Amino acid sequence: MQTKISFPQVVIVLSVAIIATAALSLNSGAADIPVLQSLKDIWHGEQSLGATIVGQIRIPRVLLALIVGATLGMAGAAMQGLLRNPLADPGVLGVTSGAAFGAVCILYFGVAATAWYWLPAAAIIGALLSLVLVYLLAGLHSSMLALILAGVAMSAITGALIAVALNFAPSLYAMQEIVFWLMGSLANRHWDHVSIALPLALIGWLLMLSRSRFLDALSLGEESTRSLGFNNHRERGILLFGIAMGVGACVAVSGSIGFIGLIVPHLLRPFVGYRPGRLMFASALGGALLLILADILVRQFDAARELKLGVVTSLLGGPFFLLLILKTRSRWA
Amino acid sequence: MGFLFLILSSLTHSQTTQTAQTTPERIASLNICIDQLLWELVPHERLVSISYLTANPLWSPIAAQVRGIPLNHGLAEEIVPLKPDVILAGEFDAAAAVELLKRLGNRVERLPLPRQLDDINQQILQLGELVGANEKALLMTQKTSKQVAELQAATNNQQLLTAFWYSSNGVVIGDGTLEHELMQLAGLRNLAAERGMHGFNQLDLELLLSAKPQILIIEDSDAGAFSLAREYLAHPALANAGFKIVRLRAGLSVCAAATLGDVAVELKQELAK
Repeated sequence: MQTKISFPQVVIVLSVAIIATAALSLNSGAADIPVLQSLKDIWHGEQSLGATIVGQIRIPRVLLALIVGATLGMAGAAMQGLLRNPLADPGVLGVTSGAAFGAVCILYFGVAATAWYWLPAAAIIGALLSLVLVYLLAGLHSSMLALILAGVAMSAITGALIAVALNFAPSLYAMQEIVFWLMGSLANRHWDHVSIALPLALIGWLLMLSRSRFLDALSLGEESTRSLGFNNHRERGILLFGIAMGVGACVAVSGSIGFIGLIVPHLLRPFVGYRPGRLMFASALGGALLLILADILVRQFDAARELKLGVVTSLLGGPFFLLLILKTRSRWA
Repeated sequence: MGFLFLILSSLTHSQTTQTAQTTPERIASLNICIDQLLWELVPHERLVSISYLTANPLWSPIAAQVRGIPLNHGLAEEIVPLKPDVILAGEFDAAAAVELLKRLGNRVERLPLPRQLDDINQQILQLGELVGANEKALLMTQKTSKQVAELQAATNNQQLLTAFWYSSNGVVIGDGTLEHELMQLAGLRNLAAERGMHGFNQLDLELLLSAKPQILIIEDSDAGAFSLAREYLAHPALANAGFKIVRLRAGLSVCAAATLGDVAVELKQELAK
């Protein structure tokens, strides 16, 4: 695919689209309220109904969609670059469910209440463990089959661990909530969740973006990174940690939302000149856009029993994943 | 917990047959609510087995007191060796176990579960009759009736306030429920019922805020255990919305008969604040 669109143009188009969809998202919700007037009320510090609904419910929700989508998109691009494998994605390889398992352990067994950092810390550790395991199992062979199999196994294990943890949780509702942790949702989230996710996700983004040049070099092979003077171990370590940090911080508040990191980098790769470093930045924007759109979509159905966000992204991403497998079949084994 | 209540209360017709049998001495119960009523009605040494849920503080207010009494998990093999004179079960408890126990020649009595205020006193009296504690049962119903009546008296001649009864998972409680009856007695307009909601329904938080209730009734429960279901009740938008939040310690959702009086008293006190 040859395109004449330049990288800055891609960034501008995506940014404009994000602003437009975010505005649309602020306008979608069960209550019928004047959004502009509500924003003015918030600005003037007035306590109107609209100000409460927009300020306390809708704005944090849009922000979370943006943060989580950006992180998953960027993490997907980073993993695909790092593993040099187009099928890598934090959801497919079980990294998000590893993070969800960490979050579940902390939340349902009463540790989260003792200090704010336990929840993101546990989710980040969960993400890091599953990421490193998959990387060790599959990264050593550059075989697609090995990577996917390792990912499937990791997803199955972490998914089962979530179920076991919730089964033993001292809460009457724990077992019903398995769907949230496996499928993800932004319903009923508020500013506390933003303040947990945002700072750590930001650090994760910076860590990932700081390794742009390494990923660019890595696309030419490990020999070339070494000859260019990169310390491969250190660079990889920083990238893995950045991915785990971002994904962990997000999954801790949203549950695991799949396929964003798979779809978005693929769609954007032709527009960024196939450079993994740039792709991370563009994929963050694309991921944010996709998740805000998906979140608007889930709210269009029955408002009270809204569809889980991960269901929508899986319905989009599943077929996409199959297409990719078909396309890359010649490179298998 | 609402789901349990829903299931238990959906059958109103009594299946219990009045028998002229002798008063049973050794009592086994498969039902947490019957356990709680028995705890009030009969000497505790007559209880040979109670439901394991009754010993769980998440479900039962008397969990700490029942320590030492043998627990059952609704399995026939746990009951048979204890040789109880009667086995009490709720409408929907352990169907297979009850069938088996009957076939083994045990006396099993099934009690209907209440869905209206009137049913509650009837259930207590019926249970009292079964276990030979008529007087205590009568006293219990009189106390409950008095507590409920006081709720009504306290709010007579006042302007009706609008309210939602808001429970876990963002569920509001409409008409056809005990909660609805209590709200009416307390002089509250149940906005959920006015929206045409029957029983237990989820209501979007935005819609709840838009309806601008004057009072929001929330049941505290779960002994601090985390759940997303309870997070609905902790959303900051509720704190900023300018309605009065009434928090009840006791709820009706598990065992209405045993807690009705407490709920009425608490509701009255909280509304009076």
